[in-house]
Order: sequence, then structure tokens, then C-alpha cells
Amino acid sequence: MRADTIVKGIAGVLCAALVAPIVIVVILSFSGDRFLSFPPSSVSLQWYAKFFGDDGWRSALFASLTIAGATCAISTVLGFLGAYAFVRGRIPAKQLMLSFVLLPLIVPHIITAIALYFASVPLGLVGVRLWIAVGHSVVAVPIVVLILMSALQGVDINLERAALSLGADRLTVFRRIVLPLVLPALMSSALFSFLASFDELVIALFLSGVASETLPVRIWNSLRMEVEPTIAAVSAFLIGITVLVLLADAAVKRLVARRSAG
Amino acid sequence: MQGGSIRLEGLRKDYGRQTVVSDVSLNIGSGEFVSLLGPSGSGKTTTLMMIAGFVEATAGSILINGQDVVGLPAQHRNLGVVFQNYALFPHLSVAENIAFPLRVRKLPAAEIAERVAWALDVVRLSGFEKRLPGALSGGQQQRVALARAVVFHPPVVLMDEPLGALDKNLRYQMQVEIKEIQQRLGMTVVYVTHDQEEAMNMSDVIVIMNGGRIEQLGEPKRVYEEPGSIFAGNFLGEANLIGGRLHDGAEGMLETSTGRRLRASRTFSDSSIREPAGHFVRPEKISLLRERNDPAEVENVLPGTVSRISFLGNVVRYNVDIGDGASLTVDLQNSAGQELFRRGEAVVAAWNAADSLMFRHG
Amino acid sequence: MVDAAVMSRGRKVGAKRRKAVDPGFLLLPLLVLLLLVFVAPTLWFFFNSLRETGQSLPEVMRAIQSVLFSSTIRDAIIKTNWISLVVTLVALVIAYPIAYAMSRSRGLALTLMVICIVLPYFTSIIVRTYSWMVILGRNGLVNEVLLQLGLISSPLQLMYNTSGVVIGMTYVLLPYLVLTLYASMKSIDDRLLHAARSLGASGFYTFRRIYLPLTLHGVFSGCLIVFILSIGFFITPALMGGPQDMMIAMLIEREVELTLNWPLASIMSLFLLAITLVLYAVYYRFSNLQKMMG
Repeated sequence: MRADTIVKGIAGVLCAALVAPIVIVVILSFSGDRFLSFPPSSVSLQWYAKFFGDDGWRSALFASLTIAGATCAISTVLGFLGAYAFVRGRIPAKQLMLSFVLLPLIVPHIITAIALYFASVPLGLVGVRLWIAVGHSVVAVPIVVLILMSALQGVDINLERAALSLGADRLTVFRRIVLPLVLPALMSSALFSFLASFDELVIALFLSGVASETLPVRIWNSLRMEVEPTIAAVSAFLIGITVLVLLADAAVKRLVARRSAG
Repeated sequence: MQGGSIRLEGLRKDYGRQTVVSDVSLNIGSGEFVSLLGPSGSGKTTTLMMIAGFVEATAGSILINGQDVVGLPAQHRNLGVVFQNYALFPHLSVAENIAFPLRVRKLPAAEIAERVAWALDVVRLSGFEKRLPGALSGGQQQRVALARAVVFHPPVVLMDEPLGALDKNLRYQMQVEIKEIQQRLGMTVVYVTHDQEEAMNMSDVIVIMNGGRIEQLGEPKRVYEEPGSIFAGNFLGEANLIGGRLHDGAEGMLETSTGRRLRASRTFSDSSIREPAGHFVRPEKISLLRERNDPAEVENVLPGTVSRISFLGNVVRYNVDIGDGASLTVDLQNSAGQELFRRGEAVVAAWNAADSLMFRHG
Repeated sequence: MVDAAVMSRGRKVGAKRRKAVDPGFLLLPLLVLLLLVFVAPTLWFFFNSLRETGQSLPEVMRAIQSVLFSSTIRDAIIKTNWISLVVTLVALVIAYPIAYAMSRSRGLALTLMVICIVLPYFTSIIVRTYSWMVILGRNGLVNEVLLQLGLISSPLQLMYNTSGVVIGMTYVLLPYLVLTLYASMKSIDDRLLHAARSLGASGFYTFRRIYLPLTLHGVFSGCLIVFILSIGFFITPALMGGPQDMMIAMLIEREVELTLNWPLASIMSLFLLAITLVLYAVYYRFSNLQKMMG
């Protein structure tokens, strides 16, 4: 069909335009010039050296990693339990309850952020990393619930019934049947909840204070003052993390596909 | 191995205001093969799920070997269950699937190995230990599911349409095999199916369910020959129901709208019948004759015209127009040297009173 | 053969008669988190901030009224809705052909397209915004190219205005729409289209009468999600907009950061939250929540 070919051509161009900005940032980050301009006339790692050599950026990176790690742990555990409850449990007004759990994705982050900030100031929680992670968990947990709900829905309830009828107790069914079967999805949700926190700006902006500035917050501050070229390297680093997460996710999925086919 | 007994007393299940199973009482003896047969929505699977413990009974009791198990969680009921889609654990090998109930019971490794080997031998799957369920055919998966359900010697094995996913030929083969294993091990089996041939082929007792109730139960041949209701009669196979009114002259006598009298050996009441009475006869019990030979020794005779001929292979099915818009289905064996009737040919349908029943409204 | 009696030693049938616990209670920890860290702070914030605006309910209502009808806020509300609407429509025009091409492709072509959508989707919003600042800035890529080609003599103002905001936001929100549309197009049975063609319909007629109506549901839910996310958007407009592109979320941030005017911030937040919840209710009514994020 000719029309199909034309649409596919247009879509190809649009798709290229969608990745282009990201590719440009990555290329720019390797610029050897004193000021960033595209295309760079020479190649160097100077901006990366600046990024990793600067105490401020380094501590922001460290803060981001700790917070994202804690968020990942909190939201994966709570999200898994919640998803299991949604798929297998009897919950009053289930759909409405689900819509409530997903609400943090919908409510503008700015509202969540300032409300949290408003409550955190008197409690002295601003700048506390674990608290930022708890705040991030609120927006990361719906993602975990969505991923794991669809994975759990793919697990035939008769498998659990079969295990029960064969004499296994609930905990054994969970450990020996449910957990191994949703392990890939569990890893996906761990990866994506990590990423959600690692990339999150608005909540961190209000809760981080001076002590716990995360990478996105530092980029934000820098973009609002004067744009330092180091940001290209920091951005490329964040893109790199995203690529890693997506690759890890794809690897997990491939592994599973191969295992179930064999 | 000795199969256990099951006793259901006034079993009932409500979902909100809807009653899915009502007042089911049933006695299943040790070593019996009992089928719950019925259309979808008849409550047969819900009944099975209540016995297994996956669905909570609203009222009534379930006694296994005389012990009431209502309220006992499924994992403590010690019943073997074979599921419709097998429910094999996809991440565990065949041997690990079968070993599962033994492992949760913490049997010693040597005994587990011995029993798994025994169970695989029973279902003739030795050599498949290391395979994953995904790499097996439907029939093989079915066998693994069966092995897993019997390996811990449960007193009762429950099966929920276990052959539903197999094609016709394989299904028959598996029926024979399951039946053979059941008899060899002396298992008590409760088997849910909607396929009447399957139920008749395997069961000691068929329980026909309809609308959440037991419609009729009994040995396959008796239920087939003497259905207690029109529903049961139709569900077990093709049947003719000729409407008419009761004839006062003799017991079991019906007069059709064309004035013919038909006699039946037994009479039942059925409220679902629209006319005052109906004469029930299965198509294979009727013989067709050319009009000129009038059979004297048969009680029921109806003249008619062949309106349709369907060649079904081993059987030739005729539709015979018997006047007043009614028609009769007649199945004749496609036996050697037989001359087929032609469409439009005048014939006489004849059958014995012993092969028919009468249903009267009420 | 093994004796049946051996088996009963592992399990004492009838020993435990406690009722099976429904797994629904596993939702509790999650609910506690959301109630303590999401709902409670929000209510606390609204309650305390609004209390500063007046002693009684009528007074508070009057304060809310006067804020919402002040010209700055009114302009911001109109601007926010206008920008969100434009972003949604532009995103739809771009997303539809991409999703269509994806649903009709397989193999390498599909993989490449998925990468082009998913990579930006999971990249930090601030990085995505920065990338467009690099492209549209005064010394950015576009101006460089145009200057070098001699098409312009001085750099164009491509950023710090409404079009900059629209470009940036569309870029950030586009993947949501593409993924929603892709899901709905993927679920269309090809045989319906073949049937239409076999009944004598032209390609365009088939598209207009069969394909398009079948995707409308996806179009509606996708657009709704994009619009909902647009009206609360903060990062991109704050970085790429000019002084005249003040959206509600930016106003809220400014009141908190610069003037510490909590009552004003809370009134605007309440308004923004109300619109969001109403639209979410519409979404809830029409769409499958589980497909929310594509």
C-alpha cells in the first residue's frame, strides 16, 4: 500500500527527530571546545573530568544514588505487596482504590512537593535523604504497582491453587511459585523505580535543602543561573543511566523468553 | 492405595444475592469415579472448587472420610486436584513439579526420588524428568498434572475438565488411560465435565447438574435410558419428544394431535414441558420400515415422510415428517448392504414401549 | 508401592482450622505510605494555609474568589489551558502517524522506533528540556545553522517564548500519547480491515470509517492524559518560557520560593488540584487505569 509507505516515511523522520536532541547532548558532552557549540570542533573528556572532579557534583551524584537506592527498595517492596493484594485479594471498591494508588502520577508534582515541603519544615525533615526517598516512593510506587499487576495477572491463579492443593502453605506458595514467576517483572520495577527517583526533580527541589542536592536539582540550579558546559556531561551521564536501565530490562526479558522457550 | 469417601450435605454457594449452587447432597464411595456433568453455569465447577477448598461454601458440609473439612484451608485438605489448563509450574521441571507435594511434606530425598519415579511410571512418562512443562505436548502435560495429583496418595482426586484443551482423538485415548489408572490405584475421583460422552465413558456414577442443583444421578446406562427429566434426557444425547395429551385408557398412553396413540413403559413428571404430556424416545431406538410392511409386534407406530437425510458416517440420520408440523429424528446404523431411504419416501417409524418414556406436565 | 498412611505424618489434617486469610491486607503498607506522605501533608497544607486567609468559611471563600479573579491568576489560568490544549493537539498530530507506523511494522524497524520513543520517555525531564535549550538557544543549533546558511543576520528568539514552551512540553509528553495510541492500534483486528476492503471500500474509506473510529478511544484517553499532565507542568515552562508564559504551576512555585505567600500558593494549588481531579475522574470513567502509562 502506497499510503502506508508514506506514513512510515513520515514516522521515521519524526522518530529520528525524537532521539536527535538526546544524541546531540551526548555528542556535545564530548566537546573539546571552550564553549559548547554544535558540532564540536574537537573531542575531549574535559567536561566529564570537571563533573567527576567537582566536589559539588560528586556529592550530588552520591546523594542521587543513595536516595534512588532507598526509593527502589521501599517502593518495590510496598508496590509488590500492593499489586499482589490488587490482583489476588478482595479489596472493597477495587478500581477506585487503584485509582487512588495511581493518583500520585496524576496530581501535579508541584503540589505534592510543596505540600510535603510545608509539612517537612516544622518536622526538620528537609535535607534528610531517607525522607526524600520516602517522598520519591510516593511517585515511584504507582509505576511498580502497574508493572507488577500486569505480571501477576499473567500468573494463572490455578498455579497457586494447585500448589495449595498439593499441601503448600501461603508462604511457600509465595516463595516457590509466585516469586520465581514474577521475578523478571520485579527486577523491571526495581530498575524503573530507581530511575524514577534518580531523574526526579520537583520533589527533590523542595526537600533536598542544601545538604542533599541531587543531580537533577543541581542541573536545575545551574540552568537557572548561568548554563555551565559541565551540564552536557552530567546530562549525558543521566542518559547513560537510562540506557543502562533499559538495556538491563531488555536483558532480563530476553533471558526469561529464552528460559520459557527451552 | 485405598480411595476415600466423600459426603456432601446441603452444600450451597451464594455470590451476593445470586445462588450458584443450592442444596447439593451427594454420597461418593471409596474407589468410585463420579462425574459432575452439566452445561456452563450449572454449578459443577463451583461444587468442585468448594470440595477442593478454593471457594468457601455458604452453607452445608463436606465430609471426607467422615471428617468435615469446611473451613479447612485448601493446603490442609490433602486432595489431589487436576486443573483444566493443568496448572503446571512453568519454572519447575517435570520431576520438580511432581516432587512439589512431597517436598512441602518434607519427605526424605530418597523417598521423593522413589515416588516421583513411581508416579512417572504410572503415567508412562519416565525419561521426561528434566523437561520443562512448556516443552511438552498437551497430552504429556496432562499426564504430568495427573502424576502430580496422585504422587502423595490423596484419598480423593478432583479433576476439573482436565481434557478440555485436548483434541478429540487424544481426548478419548486419555479417558481410557485415566480410567485405567483410577481402577488400578483404586482412586476415588470427582470429575467435572460438560461432555456427556466423556462422562458416560469413564464414570461409575453420573451426576447431572442444572441451575446449581442436582438434576439426576445414577449409573451412565440408567441415566441415559431413563432420564428423570427432559433436561437430563436432552443433555445426555439426541432425543425425540412428541407432544400430545394423556389418554385415559391405559397407563403411559399418549394421544398425539393427529390422533395416534403411543405407549411408554414409565411415566415421569416434568414442569418444563409445555404440552400436557410428551412421549420421549431416543433416535437409535426407532426403526424405519417401508410403508407396505406393517409391524404387528411393536407397540408404537407412526407413519410419515422422510424430509431430510444426513449422512454422519457410522450413522445415517433421518428426519421424518409425522404431520401437524412435528418431526421425528431417527438414527439408523450404516450397516452393510442396507438400502438408504430417499427423501420424500413414505415410511413407518416403529419402536417398543420399553424403549420410551412419558413425561407429564406437573 | 508406598502406603498411604506414610503421607499423613507431614500434615495433620484437621489440626489447623483457622480461616484462610485474604491477601487483600497486603495493600495496607502501601496505603499507610500514601496516607502519611501524600494525603496527610496535602490536607495539612491546604488546611493551614487556607486558615490564614480568614476566620470563617465565607471569608475563606471570598479570599479564594478574589485570588482566582485577580488578573494575574486569571491570565495564568487562561495561558495554562491554552498552552496545554496546543501541546495536546500538536502531540496528537505527531503521535498518530508514529503509532500507526509502529503498529504496522515489525522486526528491526519496530525495534528502532520503540527505542526512539522509549529512550526519551525514560530520560529525565530536566535533561530533555536542557537538550532543547541547546538546540533552540541564542547560540543554539538552529540559529547556528540558519546564520551559517545566511538565511538570517542575527539570532532568532526561539526560546523564552510560548513556542519554546510548546516545543519543549510536546517533546516531553509525546511518548505518553504514542504509547497509548500504539496500544489501541495494536489491538485492532487486521481482519476487520480486510473485511472492509473485500466489501469494496477504498483504503481511505476503510481508514475513515473503520480504523479511525476504532482508535478514537485511545486518542481520547491519550489526549486526556497529556492534557492532565500539561496543566500541572512546571519544569519545562519554567526553563523555556518567557515572563509572559506564566503557567499556574510556575506561579505556585514562585509564591513559595520568592514571597513565601503560602495562602496564595495554596489557593492556586487547590484550583489546579480540582481541575486535575475532575479530568482524572473523566479518565477513570472512560479508560482502563492499568493502561495509564502506555
